[in-house]
Amino acid sequence: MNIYITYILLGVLLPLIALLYDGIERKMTARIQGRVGPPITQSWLDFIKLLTKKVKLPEDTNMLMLFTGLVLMFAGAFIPLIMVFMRKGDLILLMYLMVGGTLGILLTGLAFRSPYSRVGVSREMQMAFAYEISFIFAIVITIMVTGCRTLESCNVSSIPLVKWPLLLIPFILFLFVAPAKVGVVPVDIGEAESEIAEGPFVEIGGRYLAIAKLSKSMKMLALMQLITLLYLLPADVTGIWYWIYSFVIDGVLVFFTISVVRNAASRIKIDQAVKFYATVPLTIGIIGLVIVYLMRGWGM
Amino acid sequence: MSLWSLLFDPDNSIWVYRINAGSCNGCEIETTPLFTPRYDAERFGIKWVGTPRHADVVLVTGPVTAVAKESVMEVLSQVPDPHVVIAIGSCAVSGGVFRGSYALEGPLDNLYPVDLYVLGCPPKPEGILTALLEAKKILKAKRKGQHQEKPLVVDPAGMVMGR
Amino acid sequence: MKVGVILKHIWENLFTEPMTKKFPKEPVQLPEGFRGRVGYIPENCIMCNMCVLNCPANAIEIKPEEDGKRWTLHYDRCLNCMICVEVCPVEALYNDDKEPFRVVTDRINAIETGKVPMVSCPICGKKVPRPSNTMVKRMMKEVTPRNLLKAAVCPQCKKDHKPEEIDAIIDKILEEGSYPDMDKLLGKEGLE
Ligand code: SF4
Ligand code: SF4
Ligand code: SF4
Repeated sequence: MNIYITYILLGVLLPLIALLYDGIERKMTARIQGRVGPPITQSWLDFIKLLTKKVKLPEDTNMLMLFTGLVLMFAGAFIPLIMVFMRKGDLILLMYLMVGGTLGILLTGLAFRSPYSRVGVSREMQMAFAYEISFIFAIVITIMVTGCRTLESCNVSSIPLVKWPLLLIPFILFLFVAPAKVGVVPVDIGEAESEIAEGPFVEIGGRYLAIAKLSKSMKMLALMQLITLLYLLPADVTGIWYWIYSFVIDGVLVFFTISVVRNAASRIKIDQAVKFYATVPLTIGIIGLVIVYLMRGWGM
Repeated sequence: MSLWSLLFDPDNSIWVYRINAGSCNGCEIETTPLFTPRYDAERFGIKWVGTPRHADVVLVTGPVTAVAKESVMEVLSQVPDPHVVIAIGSCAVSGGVFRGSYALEGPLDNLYPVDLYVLGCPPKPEGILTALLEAKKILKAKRKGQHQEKPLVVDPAGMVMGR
Repeated sequence: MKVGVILKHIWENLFTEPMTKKFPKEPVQLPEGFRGRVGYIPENCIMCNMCVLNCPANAIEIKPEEDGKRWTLHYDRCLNCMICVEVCPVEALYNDDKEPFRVVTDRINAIETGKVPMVSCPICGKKVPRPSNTMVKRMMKEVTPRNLLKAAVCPQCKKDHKPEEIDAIIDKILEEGSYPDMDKLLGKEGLE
């Protein structure tokens, strides 16, 4: 019984915390740019605001596709979020769910006939092909190094110290993938606000947009917590310290992988982004995979 | 700001969409600084969006020209309720220097109810910011259904003088 | 390296005060020579129509009313170009930078208006516009009831009477207090 109450509590609280992290990220971005910035509850306020608005959709909307897309998007962010914070579940399943979230964005965009939305979907798809491979590589290397597939035991603290440097490869891959997966400025070509009016989300408004924004925040927090859980948890901390440690490290990660990257670079073109993801992270991934495979052969 | 408004007040989040209805770009130049570090409208939760479907507030600049009219009306009709329309600059408010030109269909309030007018050619960014903060109150009233439509005012020459 | 420069900026910005103006709490800082709105002083106006003719936006109109002339500025059309201030011969218009911007909910609220009443000529009783304070000051150095009365004499009476006669009539009027529009002449009534 107790476990159900925990899950329900987490199911309510974690999305709120995710929105809070989004607000913190916006505040940090503003400070980096020398502005005052919104209050850190701003994303939460935006969410409430979007819920109170009436929805206006184009007449020829494919509602089935829209709902499927939104559900996939939400599930692809919400379930991983609960999984990584509870440290329960399978890493492969998590990977599939997170790829499913991207699929949700594509379906949402395809529900409309707006050219912006179509362009956004096509760019999003190209980006997904480019970075999801690196993401899969990172998870596969992690599984090979640690030799286990569940989130409970699959982290740095469960392997001997000599193997730690090997986890550096997936960690770096994750740092490369994180901005693209979350969708922030240098590589959010599919959802560019100023160029194509948020791409796949151009036509949705009101509560549908609220779900999309919530999913994006949750995806960010889930990804950060996944990195923390897999690579930055050197000792097997549990209980309240696990939560405090996670939230602090998540904040630091958000700052370094999202805020700094976002402000240090401007949005690049789709061909540049695809070229980048298809060369640097992919090369690192393949080399890492080969190294790990050979090491395994030597009995490490 | 009280804790309640920091946590639950939907009116502290305003998403702004901007339409250029034939403006000379003077008003654009004064609107853009709102989102620069110097004026930073984001500290009031004001955010720039790229599509009318996400907008709470629509800023219209320029006298509505005959060419722009159709698009402007189309865009305004796609903004979900509740929303506020703000006319920025003399042109959007009354036609300004272009008043009476054969190429104008405007000013805007002849075509669509306008909630707030920012006077000046171009207005100061502070003026636009004040209007956006004022728009919060109107949005609140509209959300609660207390907003009263202003009656149409026509001056003796037959010009619509706003609602 | 470029990345180093950017990171240095990021680091600096994080630990310095934001450069945002605290606008609604602090008043607007206006630059030198800022053109605000047009202020109107009806005491000085001579209803010469110069501002109406020169305004590029046709924002000013002057209309006769029953007992005076009304000057109206449609502030919603004004460009703040201050041409009217430049052309006004009697300093009846001025650059009022106390209110650097204005937000209204109604275009009717964007109207500035002023009225100059008609006063009667002290000699023949014909209605003439109230003389402008600036003109009186320029011609007779001081704005006194006596000088104002002198300025209110209509052109026809000025032709018909000698200056000494006019002075004598005005002395008599001031002694008797028999001038009907004294309040209007002194600007206590009728001016808006
Ligand atoms: S109000 Fe003035 S600055 Fe603005 S668009 Fe019109 S002419 Fe240009
Ligand atoms: S305001 Fe000045 S220019 Fe205009 S009518 Fe009066 S005196 Fe003449
Ligand atoms: S400032 Fe310019 S536009 Fe405004 S009333 Fe004077 S002359 Fe006309």
